[in-house]
Amino acid sequence: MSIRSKILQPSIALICVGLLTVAWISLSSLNANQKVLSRYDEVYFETKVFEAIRADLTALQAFGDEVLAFNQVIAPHRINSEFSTYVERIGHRISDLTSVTSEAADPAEIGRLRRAFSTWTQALEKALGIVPSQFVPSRPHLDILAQTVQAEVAMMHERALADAAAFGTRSRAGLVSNLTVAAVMMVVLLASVGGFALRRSFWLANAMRSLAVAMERIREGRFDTRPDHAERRDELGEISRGVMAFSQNLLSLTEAKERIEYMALNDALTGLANRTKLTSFLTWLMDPETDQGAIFAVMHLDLDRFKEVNDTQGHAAGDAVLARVGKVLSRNIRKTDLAARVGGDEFVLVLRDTSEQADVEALAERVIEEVSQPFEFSGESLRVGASIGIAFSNTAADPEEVMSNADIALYLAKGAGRGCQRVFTEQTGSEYADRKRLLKDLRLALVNGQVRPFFQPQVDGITNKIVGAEALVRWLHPERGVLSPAQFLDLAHENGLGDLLTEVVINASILALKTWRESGWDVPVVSLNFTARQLRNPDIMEALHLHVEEAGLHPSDIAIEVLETVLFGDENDGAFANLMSMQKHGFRVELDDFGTGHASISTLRKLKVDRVKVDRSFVTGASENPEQEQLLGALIDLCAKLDIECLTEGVETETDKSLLLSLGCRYFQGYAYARPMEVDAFGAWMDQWHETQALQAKAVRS
Amino acid sequence: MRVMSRAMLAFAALLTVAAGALAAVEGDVRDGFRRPTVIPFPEGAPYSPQAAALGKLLFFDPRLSGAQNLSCASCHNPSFGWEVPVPRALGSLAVELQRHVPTVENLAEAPRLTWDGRQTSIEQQVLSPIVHPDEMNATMEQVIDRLLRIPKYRKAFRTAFPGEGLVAENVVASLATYVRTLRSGWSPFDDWVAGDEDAISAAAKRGFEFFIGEGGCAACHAGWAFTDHRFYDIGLDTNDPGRAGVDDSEPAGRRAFKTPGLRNIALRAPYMHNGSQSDLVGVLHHYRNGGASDLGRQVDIAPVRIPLMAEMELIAFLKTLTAYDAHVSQPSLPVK
Repeated sequence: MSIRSKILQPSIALICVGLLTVAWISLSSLNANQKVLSRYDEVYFETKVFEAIRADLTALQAFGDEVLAFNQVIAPHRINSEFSTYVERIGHRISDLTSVTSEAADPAEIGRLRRAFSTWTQALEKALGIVPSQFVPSRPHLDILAQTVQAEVAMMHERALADAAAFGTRSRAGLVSNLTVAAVMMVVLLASVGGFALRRSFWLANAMRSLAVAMERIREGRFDTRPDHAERRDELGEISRGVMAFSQNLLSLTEAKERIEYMALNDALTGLANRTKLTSFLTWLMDPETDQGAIFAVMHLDLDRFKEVNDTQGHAAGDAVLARVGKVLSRNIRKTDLAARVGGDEFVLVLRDTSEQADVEALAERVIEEVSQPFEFSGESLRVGASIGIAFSNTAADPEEVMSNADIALYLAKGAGRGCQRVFTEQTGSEYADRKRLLKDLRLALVNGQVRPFFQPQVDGITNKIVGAEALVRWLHPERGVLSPAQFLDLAHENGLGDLLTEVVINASILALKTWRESGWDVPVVSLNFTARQLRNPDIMEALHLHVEEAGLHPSDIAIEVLETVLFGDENDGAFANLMSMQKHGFRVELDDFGTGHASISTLRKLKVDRVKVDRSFVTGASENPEQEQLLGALIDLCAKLDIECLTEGVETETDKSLLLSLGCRYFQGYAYARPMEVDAFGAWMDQWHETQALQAKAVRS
Repeated sequence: MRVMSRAMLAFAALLTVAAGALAAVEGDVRDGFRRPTVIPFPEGAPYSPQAAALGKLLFFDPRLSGAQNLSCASCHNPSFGWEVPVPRALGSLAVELQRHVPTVENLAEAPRLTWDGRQTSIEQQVLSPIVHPDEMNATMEQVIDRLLRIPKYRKAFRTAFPGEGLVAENVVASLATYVRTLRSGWSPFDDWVAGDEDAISAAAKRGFEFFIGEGGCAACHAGWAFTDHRFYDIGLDTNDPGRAGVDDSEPAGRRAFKTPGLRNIALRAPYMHNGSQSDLVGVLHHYRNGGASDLGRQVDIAPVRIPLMAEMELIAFLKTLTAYDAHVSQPSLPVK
């Protein structure tokens, strides 16, 4: 049954009961009234008849009295006729009484009346001389008889009235009992129907309440709430199902919202917070109103070598690295702390209630340690490093400044080398400012020529001929003097100035080569250093090629120095292919710092480098160390066996020179000959060198 | 069940009978004083209202006396119970009559009339005063002659006596008819006899008991009219021979007179045949004394012990015999 009928039915029933009762009461009242009225009509007519009879009786009596007063002699026929008239009329009246009334027409009464009347009239007939008799009724007797008749009539009349009154009373009593029955029935019906309605109402109210409770629970977010009555087939069921559907929708929406919020505030890959969440977290932490107060630390972590992993081993590997870093960070922080990924390979840890620098540094150390652990991904070993900058909240006034400070610390850490951490202090701040200033200077220096290559000659130890020059970049800082690459090279690369710097060096070197040649000095080749990244960039190689051709030089005038580590990768590495391509064009390829890296012999063979530069670490002290000497000898032998020119760096003394020569290496570069020099100085040195050589040759000859 | 109901019925019947018996005793006593419903008329003297009406006209008509100065009603005044309030009335010629005027009501059943009972019919009775010289002092011829001169009387006589007309016999007959119809009016005592216990006072009831009991009054004043129509010497101090004057069988020296009825007795003072008692108290004193003393003759009564209370109660009772309405309307007499 529907709720409408549930509500309507009792109401209709109540109305029906009310109507029935009213109708019943009205009808029974009407009926009773009608009966009483009609009875009263009868009584009225009876009364008329009774009154007429009594009047006639009185008249007859008066007539008798008149005659029997004997005051005049009345003729018998007159007496007779008048008497007959009265008697006849009264007889008719009595008959009327039988016909008019039903209730009063008690045959016994009528009979008694007739008998009394007859007795009276018979006596009267005698008294009036109508019927001759020896025994004449006396006046008192006649009066008694008349009174008897009158009394009979009066009694009948009284009884009729009493009957009518009794009838009225009976009718009223009947009406009262009817009304009582009606009232009792109404009360019973009303009570039962009302009780029924009340029960329905209670039930409805309870149902509504349970719905409201369900709604309240849903409002509180308990979307699994299942309202009662959901199985009902009525409106309540519909509402319940609606509430359920509503709840389901809300659940979906809330889940979606949570997902969106999560996505908005979290990094999908690592599951860590994102920059937005970090910002709001920091804002909250530093909000004076929330009065968090306690000092916290921000640890800004930047992965080292991530780009390489990404480039060389694909994005999947990169993602794996990031995910792993996320895990490392997550497990190293407390619940109240926050780990966020704020950039490609940048992470931030917020460590709350942390003021001890040592603790934070220890944590940073551990994180770096764990992040730096190589791990397997698709059968390959992945390895990245991490640099961390740390800033405490008490060093800054707002979240931006804390982040900035951590950034600075990170910057400095990276500046200090990979796998380092730095804590932001006032000192680091100024250091950073220094670097910033340096960077600014560097930008200027790159365009105004303060940064330019110095050249260090490479000499054939046997012939003492100059076989080449390595371009080594120097920054002639107006205030700080000559700065070595170690002091600004990373700065340049980190700040996107690497390519510009390389180009500057390339141009300067080409120009220098041309200058020298124009001046008549034979400098067969200039070696240029490239980073692995630059080598992978075809544009740079292209540019080199272009510059060389524009300068009217031959590619073989330029040697590309490659760090052994660059060739560690496989043939698919872009650097490798580019090198092969450049070599094909005629550029010489030299392997720098040979012996320190992982270049395999097969790689050497594959690429067929034009020259190997044995790292200075093999040379330094080799004269005092037989083992080192043997190792040096083996390297030199290896090159000889592979038919690769071998040049030794770091040759500083004549002893070194002698040793190397004895070991079979004839090409040297080092202080034993010259320091790196400016173009002009190099030219001057070559003049001097040639002079010296000429003198020596003369001396030898002479 | 049946046995039980029978027993109960029997018991109820017993109770009813016992109660009825108690009531019946008094009822029977009262019944003896119940008024007769009818007035008996003798054979040959038929009743008719016309005759009665004519009789009433004549009864009130002074033209029935010789000097036309006296009607029957002159001495039989209905207001005084058909008597006059004097010991002895005066006749047409202003002669004092010998005896106190007796009433004329309730005489239909009386076998003898007048104090000494010298008349044996009402016809005789009505005629005698008309023609008695001391009384109305007329002759019937004289009366007839006078009446015949009045057309209305003639017409009335024709109506009352068709085919006979105005003759002396019919004058007597109509008067006798009228006198027979004279009955004392309905009294509180009659109501009491009829069963209305509140009709008379308790004193009157005790008076009635005394009247019919200790007093022995009812021995002579018997029946509804309180008379046995007989003659007694009640020891009155009188020279009037009474009954002895007309009845030879009556021993000489007795002074016996007819027992008068007691209806309307309170209206009929003075009392006794000679009007010697002016009120009822005097009458009772007479009976208490057993008549006048030193009469030198045997009388029919003995002294009756009547206590003072009983005396008052007797009088109260006697007054209940007075009709509610003693009034009798007077007819307008025909003149032409």
